Amino acid sequence: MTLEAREVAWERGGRLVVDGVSLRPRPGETIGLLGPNGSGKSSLIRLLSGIARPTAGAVVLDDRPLAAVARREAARAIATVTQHADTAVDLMVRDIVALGRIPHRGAFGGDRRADDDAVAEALERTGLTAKAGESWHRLSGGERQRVHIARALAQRPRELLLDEPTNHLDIRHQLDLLRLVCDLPVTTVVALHDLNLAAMFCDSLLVLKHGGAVAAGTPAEVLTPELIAEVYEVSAAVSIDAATGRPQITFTPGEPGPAR
Amino acid sequence: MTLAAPAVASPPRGGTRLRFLAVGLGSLALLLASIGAAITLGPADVSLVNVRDILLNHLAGADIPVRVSKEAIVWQDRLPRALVAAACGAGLGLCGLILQSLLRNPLADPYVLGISSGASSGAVAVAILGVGSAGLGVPGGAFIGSLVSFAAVLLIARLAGGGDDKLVLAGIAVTQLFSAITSFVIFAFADSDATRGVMFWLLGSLEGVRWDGAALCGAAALAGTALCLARAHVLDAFAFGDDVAASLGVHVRRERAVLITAAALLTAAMVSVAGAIGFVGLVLPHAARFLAGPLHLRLVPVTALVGAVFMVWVDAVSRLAFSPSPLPIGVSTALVGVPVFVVIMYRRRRNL
Repeated sequence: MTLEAREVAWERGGRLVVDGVSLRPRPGETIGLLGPNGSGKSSLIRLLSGIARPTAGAVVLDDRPLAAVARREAARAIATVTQHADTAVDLMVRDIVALGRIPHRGAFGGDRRADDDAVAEALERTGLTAKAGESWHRLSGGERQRVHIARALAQRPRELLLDEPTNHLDIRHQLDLLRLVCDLPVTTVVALHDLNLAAMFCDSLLVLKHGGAVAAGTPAEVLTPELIAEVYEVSAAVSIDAATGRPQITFTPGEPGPAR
Repeated sequence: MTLAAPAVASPPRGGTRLRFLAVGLGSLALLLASIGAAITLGPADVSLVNVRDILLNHLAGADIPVRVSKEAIVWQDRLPRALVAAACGAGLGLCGLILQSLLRNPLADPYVLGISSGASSGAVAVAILGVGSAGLGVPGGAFIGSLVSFAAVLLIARLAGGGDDKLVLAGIAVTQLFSAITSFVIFAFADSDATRGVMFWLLGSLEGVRWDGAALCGAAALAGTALCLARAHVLDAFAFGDDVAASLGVHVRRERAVLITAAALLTAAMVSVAGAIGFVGLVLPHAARFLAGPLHLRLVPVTALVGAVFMVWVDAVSRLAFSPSPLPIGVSTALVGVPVFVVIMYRRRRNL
């Protein structure tokens, strides 16, 4: 019972933005997607979520092609937090989190108790219970990200897809948010920019470059100076943090990256 | 105009279901009372008792003696007219609601986006040129015109790179184009009597509407309300854009097509009977949000009811203000609507 990408490719405007990538998360793990801007992280998330269809290969949910699964059914299994999701509508935090119940509803309401429970639990987990009556337009960037994650949790998904959820957050909120995500009992695929955060929180990593997968494995296997030089074109030193046993990356300024 | 009041009314946020029910039933009662009261207003003296008697005679098969002239004024003229006004208010309000949700633009409305203008061109093409008049009829012409103009607006906005402002600019361009086409058809092909009639109608007018118009508009408004209620969650889901809607299980392309076609159909029905009444679709959803909050399950019925009451009174005032010559209702709605349009633009500048 998982979401899986099998050799997916996506040609968009004549350019191959995702090029034959496979991804098979183990249930409950947190997978980090790494890669420079334009490497295909967001595109892969869009394919996994079913918002976009691959031009080759297949995204598979429980051994059925996602394209063949009804949208509502898919939304009960997969929740997605995209970038830059803003609104002009004057919604309260509670209203937005309750949007996550839409896939569980018929045309005229559904199980109100289950809805209320799911919303309350999502607010609780994201630390937003006290903000439930607040207007979206009064929230900080970090709070808005948490609201989106709470909305995704209210969907009660098995798979959670997050596209750069730590963007524009200060360091404390970045750490809080990723800790929250890792502690959730769901399979999570999260696109990240910060290699140290990825090393700290992810169980495994997939590194993309020009739409293709160049490395996959645990953070210690993947995050080597050679790979960082190849993918990001910067030089870096990698040490193992004694306390956590996780790799720690230090960038070296001024040195030119190796030739492509 | 009773409904300037919503802005002052207590805010809806966190309101209980009970309060919502009270607002709903209150609005419904207000609508029926408004229609009854509006019917008594006018040059010929008709009392509420007369209205009740005439309605009982027609609807309940009673046989209460009423003077024939009053009977004719109420049953042939003022009642269908009030019903058309109510249906137009509800229908255009719902159109605005649909467009504001799907296009994520608080300034969206069938008039601002040129849909009414396209519908007018289509209606005039049928009425004056007789294009396809065999099977099409004026409502059919208005429908095709509204779809064509709306498609043009979306296309131009996309070519210009998308975005809120582009949409409104594209609406201006398309409005001007179809206004010019309409004027050209009138100028080139209509005689002076037809011109006078058509011009009045283009400003939006309820003069001389009869039961067939009331039936068309009423059916359209009721069907539109039912559809919007069934799609209330879908309209909510679009708050954060297409991608979030899709991730919430909404079939984005299909729902967009259904709802936009419904908005075009509603506009076409209203325009074919009452002409291009502007700014109602823009203003009413905003007024309704003060009462019902932003969620569509409540917003849809409140918009429809508030819109209906609003238009019944706007029409009554338009009939009486310069009596005996009636003010085109579109003039009145524009006088109310344009200042509200400006206020919304101002508030958006502050928010974003």
